[in-house]
Amino acid sequence: MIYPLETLRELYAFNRWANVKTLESVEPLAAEEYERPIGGSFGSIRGTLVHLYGADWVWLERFQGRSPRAMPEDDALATLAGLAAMWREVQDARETFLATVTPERLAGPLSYAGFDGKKFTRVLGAALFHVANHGTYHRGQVATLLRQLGRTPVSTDFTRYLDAQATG
Amino acid sequence: MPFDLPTLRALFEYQRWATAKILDCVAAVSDEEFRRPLGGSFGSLSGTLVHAYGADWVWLERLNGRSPRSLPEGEDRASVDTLRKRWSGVEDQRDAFLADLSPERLEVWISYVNFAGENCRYRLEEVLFHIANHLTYHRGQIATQLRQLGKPAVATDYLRLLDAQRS
Repeated sequence: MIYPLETLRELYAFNRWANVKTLESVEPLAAEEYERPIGGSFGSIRGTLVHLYGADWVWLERFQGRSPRAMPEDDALATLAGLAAMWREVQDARETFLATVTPERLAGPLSYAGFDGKKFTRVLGAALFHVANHGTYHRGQVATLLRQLGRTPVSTDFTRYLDAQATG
Repeated sequence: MPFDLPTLRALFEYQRWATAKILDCVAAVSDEEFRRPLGGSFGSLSGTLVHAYGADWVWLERLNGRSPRSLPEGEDRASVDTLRKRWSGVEDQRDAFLADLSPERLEVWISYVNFAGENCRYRLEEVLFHIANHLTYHRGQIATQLRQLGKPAVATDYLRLLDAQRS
């Protein structure tokens, strides 16, 4: 089977590191820059990060057998600090899930309904890979938007993660 | 060893599908839009594409024991069609490399000199995952740039590939 537990744990350790680095790059922005509509899929850096957090939350719900019918909404998501705190909780809960999930369950089915009620059945391991890959995709978008604001994002290449692990 | 051979092969099958999908979207823009400076890491769609293709090319060289010190000349002037043909050649060679690979080889160190002249080394499995992840990262940027031009960008989520394979 593909996407064994060991691979997914490594992917999510990387994902966590890369999210922290991305938030470090976003932190120095003025609120106006954070919210500025500059086009792209979600309009602003805030829009992109809220989408990324929201997708992480929705999938964690699905991993736990629930099927939310919409992205999460919360006033706390309006600020970077609020989003970072809520995102941390989702990532903590996902790591707890990964610490306890069995290889048998990973290879087994995950059934859920999409926002429109359509039913899906996936292999749990494949869904977990999707979520990690989705994180990389949107981190790339945040980097582009940061550059368009004249900022320099920190690299979140997997090789940089390995370097950081090697030097402690 | 975090990455096994079946997983890496599945990852590159996904990347090849996703690269083709996003190139279809890029091929639909005019040459002026392709080269229009939009800001961002690589300025234009052309810049982002050349970087993503160029990195694939450089890493294939490194997998084969060579350490190029720069991207090939003139890629930034290439058309989408030309880039696509060259990219497809790199993908063919990488697929052949993956097809010949044995699980034991995944743990060997790949040593190379980077563009800055520094000696680097990572395990083969790590390099392969990096290459795949890097493609996803820049595909997200290409999608952003397409939307900033008012053009559609197709979803290349991993689950879309699974849906396509099922239907």
